[in-house]
Amino acid sequence: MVIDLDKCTGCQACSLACASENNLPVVPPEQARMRREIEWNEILLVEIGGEEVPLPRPCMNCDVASCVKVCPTGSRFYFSEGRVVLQSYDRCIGCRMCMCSCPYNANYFIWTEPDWRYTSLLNKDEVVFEGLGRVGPYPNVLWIPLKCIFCFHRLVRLKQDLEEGVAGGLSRIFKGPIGWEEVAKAIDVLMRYLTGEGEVDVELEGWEIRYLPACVSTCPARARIFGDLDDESSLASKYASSPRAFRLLEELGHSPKVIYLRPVRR
Amino acid sequence: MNRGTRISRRDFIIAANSIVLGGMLAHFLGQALELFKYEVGQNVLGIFPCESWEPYICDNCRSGCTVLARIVNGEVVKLEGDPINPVNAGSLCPRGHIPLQLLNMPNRLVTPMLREEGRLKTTSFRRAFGALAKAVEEARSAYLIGGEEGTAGEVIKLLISKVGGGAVFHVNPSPYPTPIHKYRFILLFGADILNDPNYIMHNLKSYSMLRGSGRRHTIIYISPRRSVTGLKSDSWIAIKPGTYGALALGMASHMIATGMFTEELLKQVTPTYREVLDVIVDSYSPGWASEKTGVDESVIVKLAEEFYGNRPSIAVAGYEALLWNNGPKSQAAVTLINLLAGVDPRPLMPQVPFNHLPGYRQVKEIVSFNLVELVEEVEKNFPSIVIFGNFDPFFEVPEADKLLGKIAQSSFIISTSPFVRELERSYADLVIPYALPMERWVDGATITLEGRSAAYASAPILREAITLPSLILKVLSQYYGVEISTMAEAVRYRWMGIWESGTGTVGTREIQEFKTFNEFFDEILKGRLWIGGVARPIDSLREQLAEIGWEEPIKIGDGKFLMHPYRTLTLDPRFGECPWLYQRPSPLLPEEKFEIWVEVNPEDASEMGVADGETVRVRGSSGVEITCKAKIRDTVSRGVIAIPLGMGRRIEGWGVIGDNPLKLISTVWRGVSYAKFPLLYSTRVDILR
Repeated sequence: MVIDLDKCTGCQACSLACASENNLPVVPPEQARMRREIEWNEILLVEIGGEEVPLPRPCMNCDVASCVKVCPTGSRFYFSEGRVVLQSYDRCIGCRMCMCSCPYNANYFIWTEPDWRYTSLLNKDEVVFEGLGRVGPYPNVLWIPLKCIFCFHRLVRLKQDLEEGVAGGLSRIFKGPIGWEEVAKAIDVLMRYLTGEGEVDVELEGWEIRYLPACVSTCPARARIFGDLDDESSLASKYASSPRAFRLLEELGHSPKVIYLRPVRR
Repeated sequence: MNRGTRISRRDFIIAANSIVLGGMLAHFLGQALELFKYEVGQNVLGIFPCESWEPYICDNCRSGCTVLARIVNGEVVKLEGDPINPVNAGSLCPRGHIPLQLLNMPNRLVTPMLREEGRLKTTSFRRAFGALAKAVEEARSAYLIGGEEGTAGEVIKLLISKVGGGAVFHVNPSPYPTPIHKYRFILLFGADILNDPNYIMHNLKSYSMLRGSGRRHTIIYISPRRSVTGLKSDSWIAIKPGTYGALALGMASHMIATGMFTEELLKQVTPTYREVLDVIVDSYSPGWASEKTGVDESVIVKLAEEFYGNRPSIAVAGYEALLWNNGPKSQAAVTLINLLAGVDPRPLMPQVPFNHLPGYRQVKEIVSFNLVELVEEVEKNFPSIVIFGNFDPFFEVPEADKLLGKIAQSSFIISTSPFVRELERSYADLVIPYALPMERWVDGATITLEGRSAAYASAPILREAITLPSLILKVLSQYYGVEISTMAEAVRYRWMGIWESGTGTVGTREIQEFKTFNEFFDEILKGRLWIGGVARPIDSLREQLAEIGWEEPIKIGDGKFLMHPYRTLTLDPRFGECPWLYQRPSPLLPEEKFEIWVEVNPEDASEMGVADGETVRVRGSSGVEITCKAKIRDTVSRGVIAIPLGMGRRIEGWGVIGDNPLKLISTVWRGVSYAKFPLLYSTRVDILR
């Protein structure tokens, strides 16, 4: 994922879209005052080049993730095809080692029974890994840490819908056997469609943007580009190769997969 | 779950240490043996429910964004922007997500309430209709405050015209978007565009289009407080409050004196422009402006040179410049520098050939929200009906409590609201639940980012709710012979005007390509916009320029600090009860959740000995106090304190969050501000520890 900090206005649409897509609970005020609010996609205010900049901070889904290394139960794991770092809600014992080890503070613990009334479990999409259990939108399990998974359930849905030929306009382009490579290419088509960069040969129906991570599809400034960084022809790779590109705390060697573009000095 | 288990401190430490030691051991072992590098491949199964995606139009602001609602088992579970609408092009702003939470809030009002024997009680829609019909029969005048868009608004105006002696009070002093992406040098005089609640998507898109354009450009934000707009601008110029006009006059003076101006537009606006220019040069030099504004003379000169040298440039006067006693003069000075640079700064108004409803007559429309004027109107023509269209004066207007009592004495107050708020509890006689846009007919006019007129409409995607306009239509059809009795009929009737005009496009199709009206309208209801010709510029330049000159800003009270209230995109008075918004009040202070704060300049804070995070009291000139947390930041000028608007609401189960800062503001009501709005930025306050 590439986030252009020059375009981002800190409007917090991504943060709200993430909360509604992933059933993130709103904690009561007294919990929020203890910094126990749950925002997978938090907007921070950081100083870059002597200037304060609003910076959306999802989970970096690191290539060398410290949370995966320290997890004693194996509930944190890499999904090898997409290199997304996932968490099984069923395996986790809530030891919070991942929280201690993450240099980005991207893990959020469910400390208390949340206020479920407002958006209780609206999204019932579920992704199950054989032997590992559920990942995806938060399914109301107490005392476990949570984090952004790049809306992995949406990517799984795209793969399944492409396989069944029901992914709207995308199904007219991607036919035959569908692997994760095709999924990445379909994502790139959607990104080009949304940003207006590059040709899209097929007429999409509109709702196909639901296959993108919720923060990416909602961004009013189109500051977020999602795609396969290993594919040099993808829009995400194009943006990631900008001279403005940098990664947060790169020196720690976790190879974070969220790439930021520095604001332009004018 | 077993909540009775108690863990002693000793047990806890042992357990915690065991976990840490265990974890470390596991970590090193894992690294050595690579046992803990879990990689999982294809064995994944997604279980997804059957769903459908239905479009509706968001009515949170005037942008007219199409939203796709994901519906699973008849329940809305997610909202997404629809890419087929060129305004939002697939995006959704933070407030576009709010209806999902409102829809699920248990305390949302779903039945009407009627005041009987002084008490507000839940009632049926049938009785609410009876009460409305009786009030209409008895009333001699009717007023709408807050404004409703499209057909819903026209239905209420139709009622006002039938009752007679009424008016619509609009509440936006500057309700037009600024397409900044078309310019190279942008000067924002108190125009906090990234927090403007009127055209949210237009402003956010325009900003990102400019930033992504690859063209050389500069945005400069001028205000006593660096808002998010200031943060995202190329520079922020801190200015003394209320002196925006002086800065623009100083710039104009330098531009005229050095010959950096074009005459073409000025000639068209006023034939006596030469005299105007002479007066400006004689009376207002950059040195004079520097003294008034606190901005260096060299900066004013540089601004003038860059403004002219980097054309096309635009200067925009926003709320913060307008809601002063010298607001009209600031607007005039800003208009003048635009004209000098040869830029037509007129905002655009969409031109849509809607039909008017049968019997519709134009009613007086006042672009103002002046409660004093309303009191006078109501007292002249009582008994009257006053409709608050999802507008909460306690969070929008200062001193509302003083005047609402007077209005309530001689009028039947109707409020449409999603919750029972202070207005409803204390003053409303009839409360009709506010229906979310997915539960009713929505239509209206907007402007595309290219400046073309556009119109939108959507049908309810959930069970259609009974709304105030639908009740009014029934009253009109039963007692006033209006032939249309449902909102569906009314919306279609108005859209027939567009169809019959035979102009414009829907998506890629010309309107003539549709065989029937139904085919055309079905396409519109899918969320597509009708796009017509270029929107009409609002011709007000001559009146604006007539005000040119300088007037000192009024300061009310004798406190040490000038209070600068401000809106943020999420902490807006409308829909303020939504906890999603309360949890994300401002990107400038991301650590503050469910808290109200006052921003204080570091030098002022050190003089008073106030520490960051300390709880302080802020006292207004009328003696009212609110308690909040001090945030010591250099985002405000010296002598100014900034407090966000929108706090002080009651959230179900959580009580009142923060204090309403509007309580602190004392104002002057009589025709002194731009468009007769009450002064908002003139109150002096004190900080008490």
